[in-house]
Amino acid sequence: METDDTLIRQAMNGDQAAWNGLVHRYRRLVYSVPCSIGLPPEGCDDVFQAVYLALVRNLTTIRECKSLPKWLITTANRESWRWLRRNGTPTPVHTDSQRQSESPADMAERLELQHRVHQALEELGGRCEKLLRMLFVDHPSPPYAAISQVLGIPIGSIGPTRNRCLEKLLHLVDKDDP
Amino acid sequence: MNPTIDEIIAFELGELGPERALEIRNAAAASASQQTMLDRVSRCLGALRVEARKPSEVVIKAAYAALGPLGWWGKWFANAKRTVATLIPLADMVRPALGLRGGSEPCHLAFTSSIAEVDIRVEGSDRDGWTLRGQVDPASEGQVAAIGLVRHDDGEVVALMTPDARGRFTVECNRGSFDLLARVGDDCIVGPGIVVG
Repeated sequence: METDDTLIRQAMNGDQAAWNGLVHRYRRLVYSVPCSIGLPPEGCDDVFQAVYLALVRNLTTIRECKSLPKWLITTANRESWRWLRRNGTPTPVHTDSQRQSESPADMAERLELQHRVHQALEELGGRCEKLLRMLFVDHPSPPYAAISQVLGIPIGSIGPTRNRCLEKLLHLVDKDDP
Repeated sequence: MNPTIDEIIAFELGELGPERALEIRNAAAASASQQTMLDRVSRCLGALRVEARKPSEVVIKAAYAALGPLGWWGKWFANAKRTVATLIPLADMVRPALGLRGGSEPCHLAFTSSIAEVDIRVEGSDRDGWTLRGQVDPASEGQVAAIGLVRHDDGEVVALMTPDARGRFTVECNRGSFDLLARVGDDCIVGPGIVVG
């Protein structure tokens, strides 16, 4: 997998594939900021566009590529509030009181961890990714019999396989820990 | 006995019996490293369970287009107000003025402006392609943000690259007439035309 540093340098040279890679890699993280703040779908879409336009303009100023996720979160946060002001909605329409009381720093930490975990899940790929998605991401999670049939593993092996996959996932998440 | 990673995962998923679960709680309370391991698994599982909403494909495609043909730098170079630099006569400069024409020997060219000095060397052949190697030395502390090669015929930005921290760059090109442009801060300097080939 290409590093952010490589993708940024290639994108600065006009490499469309590298740029697409950056958009794809951080699509979930960028979109999750306006969603977390409580913007409606059209607001989340506008903020998503605004963040990537800002990124194109600032590619050369992002000196420390490890800080890219933080830069994206900060920019998405700023663009979200700008969108709310522009659309005459001074406060978010969030109904989740726990989220409403969350500080920007806590929100950034939570979203960055979610990004790292889901990025690691994609990196994991194969049967492990499928199994962990079925068990933890899909709602409702399918019964073991269905998982066994889809993945072609005995029901009795699902638990041990799950643990091995989670260990691999933890390893990947730790590797990307800034 | 210290819990294994399998047991910690089972603990976090509520799959252990009450006695073993209590032992793991006690082990974590007594050991900072065990507590860290428990927290690590707990946070990871918590984050895994949240599938963030993703933008639609239409929105993603629009973001792909933000880079545009040859990127934002290409557009910047195409539209930038240019400061023309002056050619510096060099002892080993075999062909004056409009640059470097013909021959297989590398040619050396330098130009200067109030913003930066630029030094380039052109080498190669029509068969193997041409390479421009150079360095931009800003007059002040401005960062050299990008180097562009713009074709005379149609004004197209045919190559873009980011120099290294010392302003050094390498640009590949085919035969043709070009302007070499350098972005330094918000300024764009352009040297005398270069005929390559």
